[in-house]
Amino acid sequence: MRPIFVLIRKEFQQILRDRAMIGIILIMPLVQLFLLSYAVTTDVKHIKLALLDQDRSRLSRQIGATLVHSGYFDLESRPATRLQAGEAIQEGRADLAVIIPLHFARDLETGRSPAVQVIVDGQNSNTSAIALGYVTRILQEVSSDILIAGLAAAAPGAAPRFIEAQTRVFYNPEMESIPYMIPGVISVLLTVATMLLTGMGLVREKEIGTFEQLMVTPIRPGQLLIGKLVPFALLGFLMLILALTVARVWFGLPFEGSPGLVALATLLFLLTTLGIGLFISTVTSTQQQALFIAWFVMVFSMLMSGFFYPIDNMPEWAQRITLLNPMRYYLAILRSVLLKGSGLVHLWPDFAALAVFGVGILSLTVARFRARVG
Amino acid sequence: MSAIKAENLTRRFGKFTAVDAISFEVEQGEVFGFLGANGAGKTTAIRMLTGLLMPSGGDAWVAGRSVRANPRAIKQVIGYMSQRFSLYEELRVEENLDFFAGAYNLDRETSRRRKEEILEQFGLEGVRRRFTRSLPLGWKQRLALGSALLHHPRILFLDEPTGGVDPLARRTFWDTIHDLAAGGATVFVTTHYMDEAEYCHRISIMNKGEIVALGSPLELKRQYGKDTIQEVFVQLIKSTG
Repeated sequence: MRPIFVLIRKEFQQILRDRAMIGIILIMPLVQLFLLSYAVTTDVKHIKLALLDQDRSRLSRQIGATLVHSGYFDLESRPATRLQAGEAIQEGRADLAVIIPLHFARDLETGRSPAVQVIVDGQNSNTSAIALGYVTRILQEVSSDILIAGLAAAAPGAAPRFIEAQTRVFYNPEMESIPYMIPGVISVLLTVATMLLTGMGLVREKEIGTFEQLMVTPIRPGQLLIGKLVPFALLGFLMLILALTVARVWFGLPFEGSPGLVALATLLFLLTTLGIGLFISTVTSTQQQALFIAWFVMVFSMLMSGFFYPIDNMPEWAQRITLLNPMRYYLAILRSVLLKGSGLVHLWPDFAALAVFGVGILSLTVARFRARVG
Repeated sequence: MSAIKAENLTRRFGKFTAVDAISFEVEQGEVFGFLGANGAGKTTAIRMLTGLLMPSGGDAWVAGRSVRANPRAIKQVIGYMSQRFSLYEELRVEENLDFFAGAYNLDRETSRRRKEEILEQFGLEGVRRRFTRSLPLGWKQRLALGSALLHHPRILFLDEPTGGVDPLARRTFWDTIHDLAAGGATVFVTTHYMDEAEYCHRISIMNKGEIVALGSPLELKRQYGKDTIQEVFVQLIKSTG
């Protein structure tokens, strides 16, 4: 037991002496949390709008006002011609141009269905799809108002009947993206910290020669692994607690479920990230190599986790690939436990998957480690 | 029983034979100099003898334990100091000693006692709280040697221990080595400095993976009719290509 104890103590001495490391461990979670939560938001607001009203009727002005006051759009310009409206998009002054043509109101009154032209900058397909959605919804509302008014005028007293969808959103009632993003940010944070620190740490020891000095001592490979895993697992938990506290206090993130489940999921998840980190260190001999491989793994786990893009929206083959991504399961657990308060009854498949990955990757690493240094 | 015995010890890397069937014996209490040009295979040989590298052929016994069959058993009875300074620079002097005492599985009490003994023996008491990074190279090397001695190893492997150290520090270093040998320890040392070879009881000279000469410095100088080991070395390396 002495060797394990001194290995862990040494690791903490090294970490605590390194100001940059303390910065990384304490500041990085906060910066990422704030940056990603606020910047990577899927709530699209402040869409730059160019509005061309050629009709200049009461109705067209009403449509314009509704758009501007909807809260989603900033009226950037009022171009005089269609050409100018197109230019506004091309030059990036506007994300969206809405053109209400001449005789719009008259055509509507005479029973035709006039069209409102909407031009959108498709460079950011995500934003433009959402912006189009807003415009369409607003136009539909206006036209249903007209319909109601028309029906009421035609048959006074007979109230028109509608089917109204009464929607209620569970678990994230405001449909804000922040509660959805934060579990993702936390997963990424844990991955970066634990995988990089363990991977780079051991490779660094190889580079400076202390690894060889360790290898001539009677320390067993298993002891060395535990000595590397435990400190970084503890650091991972420290970062988790820090991130969750900030998420709760600052962002008001709900914590509906059991802390024990979060801890268990985190433990299993850390087994995989630490295992991958150590595995990388057994196949590389310089910190650069380790960094590149770790980077690749990280980008893969982020993109294929459902952090930015919902897994359900991915093509079938991509969905199958996400099954190989441990972060996918951790993220699902974190979201469900925090936002829904889900229990093991519903989440056990995700837990089982995480456990399989954790134990599998770690065993692979131990085998590889023994073969290399045993 | 000899402290170290190698029999046709061989290591190949692919088609390249780094160490080609070398055989020698080192007696207990002997200071054995392991000389050779760069790339002669010294480091590969020392890595096999310390259990860091598995031989491709032959075998060697260190304190009677086979490096092939039982490399782990060797580690408890040897001390090793590499040519690169390889202690933790961001740890204090005494923290490095604490760490390696623990790594050698010494209990708390023994660790504490040995640490104090080493600090005293190597004149490091005054710098015990200093960060290792801030020490001059000569002091770092003393600390590295001290760390390798915490567990009272019977056999000490030193791979170019005096590289980059000033002549006075080298001299005191060799005094320490002779003290250790006088106390019964076996010292297996590689060096680039031919004057240091004169301090050894016996030396072997390696070239291209083979041992081309073996004997006491005096015997070798007589055998080749030279005044210094340096001249013997140069002639041997030239004649063996």
